[in-house]
Amino acid sequence: MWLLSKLRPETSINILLPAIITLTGLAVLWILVGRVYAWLFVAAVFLIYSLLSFSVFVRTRSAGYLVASLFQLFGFLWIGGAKEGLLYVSDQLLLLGKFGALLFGGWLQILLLTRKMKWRGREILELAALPVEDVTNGFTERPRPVGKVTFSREDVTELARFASKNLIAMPYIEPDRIVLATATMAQSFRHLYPWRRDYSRDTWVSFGSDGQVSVNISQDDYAKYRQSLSFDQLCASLGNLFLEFLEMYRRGEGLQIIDRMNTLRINPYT
Amino acid sequence: MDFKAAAKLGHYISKDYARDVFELLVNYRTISASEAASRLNLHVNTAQEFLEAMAELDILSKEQVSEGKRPYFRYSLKTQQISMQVDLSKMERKSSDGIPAMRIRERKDARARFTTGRSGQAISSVAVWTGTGRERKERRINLTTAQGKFLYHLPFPDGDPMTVAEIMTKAGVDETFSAEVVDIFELLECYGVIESPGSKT
Repeated sequence: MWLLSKLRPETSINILLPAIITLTGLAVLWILVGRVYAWLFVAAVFLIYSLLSFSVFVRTRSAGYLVASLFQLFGFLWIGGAKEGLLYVSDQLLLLGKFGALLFGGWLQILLLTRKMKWRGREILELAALPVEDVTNGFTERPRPVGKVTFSREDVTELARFASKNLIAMPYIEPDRIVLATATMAQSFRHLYPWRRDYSRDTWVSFGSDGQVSVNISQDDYAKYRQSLSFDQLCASLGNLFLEFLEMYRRGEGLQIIDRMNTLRINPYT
Repeated sequence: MDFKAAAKLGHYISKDYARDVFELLVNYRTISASEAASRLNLHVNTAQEFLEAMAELDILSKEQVSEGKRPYFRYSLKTQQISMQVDLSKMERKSSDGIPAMRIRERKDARARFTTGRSGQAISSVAVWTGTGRERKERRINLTTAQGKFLYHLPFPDGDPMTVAEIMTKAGVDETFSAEVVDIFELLECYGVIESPGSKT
């Protein structure tokens, strides 16, 4: 499917932040304390990233984050276990690190290119905007109730698991409702780590235990559209999109949901 | 007694010297402001103001007398008991003033900040900006549950307007809460947060 995107091109460099931090630290330490400690710093960063990636895998069950965690762990063994490094143990361990890092690094790239490790925020925003043609900016920072629908909490819990595993949305399970917060690749850091739990100003769809479905679109996400689309219609469309996903998932058409997003052919790194 | 008179009575009767003045009034047949002031060590204007207020509330009677060229008033008690009774039911808003039938929605660029409550199904407070320039400040209005549900279902600025009654039905707000809903609607309309397109009001 080919269509003219209603979204502006992604300009955020958030996704590059881990690499930028690591390379900056490497350069600064190389100058200040020398090569050995600089590479030790990089090894430590790989270990920390590996633990964080594993914690994300535990939260989302997305296999991509397990691969990322393994790549970073083997990267730690490779960089930290270098012969001239402070953590050198043996040639075999170094070889294992090198082999594992190359294997899982390659696998990670394949997952990224095939969008299996892509947060689908941009696809969601694009799909929500498809039926909206009116251009009457009516942005407001409050949720919009979409309507009352009949569904069971189990249905939504299952959809939440599916959405989390496939990086469609991050679920927040609350006593009275289940919230699915969407994220682009650049926004994904907001939801991934345990010290950040407030999604209220992000884009989300909630399924209340009373059947009430509500939608919130953040100002940041609304600003991603090329035109000021009718906010009321956009929110309604986003709510309907997730209701459609719920219905499709109930029918066992989870893969079709993924296909629908893949057909948009959005840059896998955005 | 209307609320304004009750407020005035309450204001004066709460003064430190009020009991002493009434004690004088009970024990003297009549008294002037200067006599009361000198007896209680008050400023004459303070005593004058108090006695005048009590006279306006029909608790004292005043009689103009002349001593030499200068006339003045002498005050005496008209009643031995003071009672304050305010009919609060008169303050109840009538829903027949057409508001439930008004079609409303949020105003575009209202610059109000809505905070969603913990339940996620209602607004807990609205913050609006008042004043201009250096006088500009934020006013936060905490909402009752009924008001919060009502505002949660208020149509968006580019949405189709709905009547107050329709929004209440959609939000599941019982009609018995209509007075508090109308109250918040009127307040937010004053602050330019809500508009009623097509209405002159």
